[in-house]
Amino acid sequence: MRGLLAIACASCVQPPPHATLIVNGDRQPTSHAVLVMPTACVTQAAPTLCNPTVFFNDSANAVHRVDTTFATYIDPALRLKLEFAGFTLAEAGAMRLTTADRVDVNGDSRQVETTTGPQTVAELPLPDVRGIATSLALTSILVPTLTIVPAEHGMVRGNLVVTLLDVATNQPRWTVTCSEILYDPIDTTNRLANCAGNGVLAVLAPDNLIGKAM
Amino acid sequence: MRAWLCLVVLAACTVEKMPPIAMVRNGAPAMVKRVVLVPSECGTTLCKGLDQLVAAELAFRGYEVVDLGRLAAIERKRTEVQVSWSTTVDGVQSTGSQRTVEVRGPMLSDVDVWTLRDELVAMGVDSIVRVRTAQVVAKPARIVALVRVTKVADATLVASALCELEVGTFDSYEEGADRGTRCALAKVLR
Repeated sequence: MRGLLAIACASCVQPPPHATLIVNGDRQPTSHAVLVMPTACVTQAAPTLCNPTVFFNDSANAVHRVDTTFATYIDPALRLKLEFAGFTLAEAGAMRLTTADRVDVNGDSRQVETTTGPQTVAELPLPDVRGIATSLALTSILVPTLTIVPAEHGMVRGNLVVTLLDVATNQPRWTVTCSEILYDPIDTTNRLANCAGNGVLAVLAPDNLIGKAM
Repeated sequence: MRAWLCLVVLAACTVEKMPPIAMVRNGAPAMVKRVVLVPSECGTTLCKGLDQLVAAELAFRGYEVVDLGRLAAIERKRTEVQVSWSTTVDGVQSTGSQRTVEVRGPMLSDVDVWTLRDELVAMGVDSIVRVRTAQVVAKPARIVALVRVTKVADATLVASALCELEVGTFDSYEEGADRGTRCALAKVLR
């Protein structure tokens, strides 16, 4: 009876997704510094599915403060693992294209944009991002993409594909893919991010995957 | 009796945590004297707080920490307006004043990426420090924190440390991130 209970409990735990990493041998990274884009979301199912709030009702959104983009749940874990794998990440979302003004009034500080249009590198299309990467002597761009596709039994599946692009040729140096049924939009995307990050660690920096207890 | 014992064991399991896991990687030896903490894309209060925590510890250890949010990119313009008034109503006089100080002009945290790169070189900054934290959704939940130091010149690694720790049922993400960052920082500075 207890055995059955244990099996039932174990079956409730979702097994971790597997990472598939394809490394193009002749295009190994030559630089430690990489320009990283925020995770983009594309969907082959309902267009609204790229917004995590649609998976919850209003009260749950208020309680859990669900963000409107999957990048919030994917980027921190993915970037942390990639940096520990040896890449130095320059975040496109934190790289300003123009200098903003700053106004401090009686101690309250605020940033004032002086121009309209894109303010950070992350807001530019990829060809322009390549140009900026070249100007900063960054030879690679990391492009994570979450694709939501219909799955069996009316569910949807999240496919996270992280590609390290060679700026000069626009060809991938390596690509890591993780896929899982999107049971929970927050938990599952976090697992996908860890899966992709661990996949890169396992292949490109295996020594960094094994920890030691303090 | 047995039920109580089970209850105690169950309660202990929810609060007893695994020891943190730490991983340290060192790059080629490099002279680190003047560092900058580049703020990450995450602009939350937590991220800013952890950056400040690491900056304070580094400054205490004798490193020169460049704070991009405190250094003016160009000469800033200060405008001070003082308004004083005096009114008399039914023979009762009342006075007051209001002072508004406006300082306008970009700080180094507001400049474009090319200007920032040139300014860092001009200031003699030799290393960049980056702090990252992330949640690992698992049973039990864990938090990973990373402190990484790289050279400005070629972005090569000086040192990095990662701490992964379990967070209890009653711990918040912020508490775990704080403990993880302190753990990773201690390993980097060792």
